[in-house]
Amino acid sequence: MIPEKNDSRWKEIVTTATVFPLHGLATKMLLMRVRTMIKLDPSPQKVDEAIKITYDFFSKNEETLKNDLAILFRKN
Amino acid sequence: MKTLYTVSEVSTMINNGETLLLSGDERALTNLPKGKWIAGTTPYFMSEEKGGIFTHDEIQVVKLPSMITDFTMKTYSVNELKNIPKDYLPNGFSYIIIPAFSDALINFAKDCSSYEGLFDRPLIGWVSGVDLAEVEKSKAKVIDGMTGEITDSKAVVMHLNLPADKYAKINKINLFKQGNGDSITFNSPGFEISECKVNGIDTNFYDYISSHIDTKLPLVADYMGAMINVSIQDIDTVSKKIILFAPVFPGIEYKIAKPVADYEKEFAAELSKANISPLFSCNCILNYHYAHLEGKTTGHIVGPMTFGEIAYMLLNQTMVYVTLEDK
Repeated sequence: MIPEKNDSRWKEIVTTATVFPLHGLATKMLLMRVRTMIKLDPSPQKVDEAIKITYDFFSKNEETLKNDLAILFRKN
Repeated sequence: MKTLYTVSEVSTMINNGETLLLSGDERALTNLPKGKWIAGTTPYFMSEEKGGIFTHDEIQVVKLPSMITDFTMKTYSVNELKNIPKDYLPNGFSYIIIPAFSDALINFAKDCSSYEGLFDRPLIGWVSGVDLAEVEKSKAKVIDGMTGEITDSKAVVMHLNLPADKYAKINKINLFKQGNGDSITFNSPGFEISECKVNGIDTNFYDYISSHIDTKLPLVADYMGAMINVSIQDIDTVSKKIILFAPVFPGIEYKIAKPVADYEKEFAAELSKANISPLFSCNCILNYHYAHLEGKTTGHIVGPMTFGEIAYMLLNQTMVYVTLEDK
């Protein structure tokens, strides 16, 4: 099970500048997209939107992205 | 493995009910019967049997494995592109072809990462093209083989579903890495650029590129370790703009790529590391030309040489591929 959307680690994942050693091309592109979105507009609304996008992505791909999930949540 | 076939041979495959991903010259593709196929135009290919080849007569064929029985196919106008992820199948991947120089391509390239759910399932494909000697008089096309619709203004997508124990995985081989030079950023997205910041200082992009940059080298952005290229199409001396094959985006740092000394040799080394057997792959027409790939091979990697590669987003000067994996 992936952490709940209100888990504070989601916010860290989308706002940190840390480059995780991710495997999936989609994961890399999606995280780059949401982090760039926040870089251009760091409002709480954009952060919430970034968390929702990221959470939804992992929710729908939990089985095939388990390696990336392990990397993201072990390091946070 | 043979991948290039005559119109007659491909027609037989279609009439036998095979599901096919096709690429070829428009004159060849328009002679095919309707059936379970999708196609885009290009006369440039990488094949195992003949290496890099330019042909108006032969069609390159990917036969989908029998495990794939469930698919839908649809064309999308500019205003419908954002709906592509809504049509993703539950356990599948989607295969897209968009005509070069079309508004559909411009829209997709600039906006796709904001399409809701874009990354939810693998989206792979390419940008169809034409004979470079006929760019002024020919248009790139895509074809929905089920309906026979041929268009130069819409994207065509085959949405494929896989058995429950399989999943599709997209990846890429990009020989270009960021060089050690200037940091280049942009204030707004676009394909036609006149202004940028170099190391944080406002700079005329036209002057910067035209004065001391090898335009065969792409701009490279680092997406969490994935190198994403933006290739230079033209230096417009009239408008004083640099025309790009893919858009640049604000908030992302670009650098000019390090040169690749020997494309064929370095590609072989990367391919050996990757150890892959893709269902489909394609590579960039710029790599074909700049690396003089005609008559040369890229190992067992075959596919159309394209006017842009799509792995979720539009990429340039990159080989993209999809493999089918066990869950």
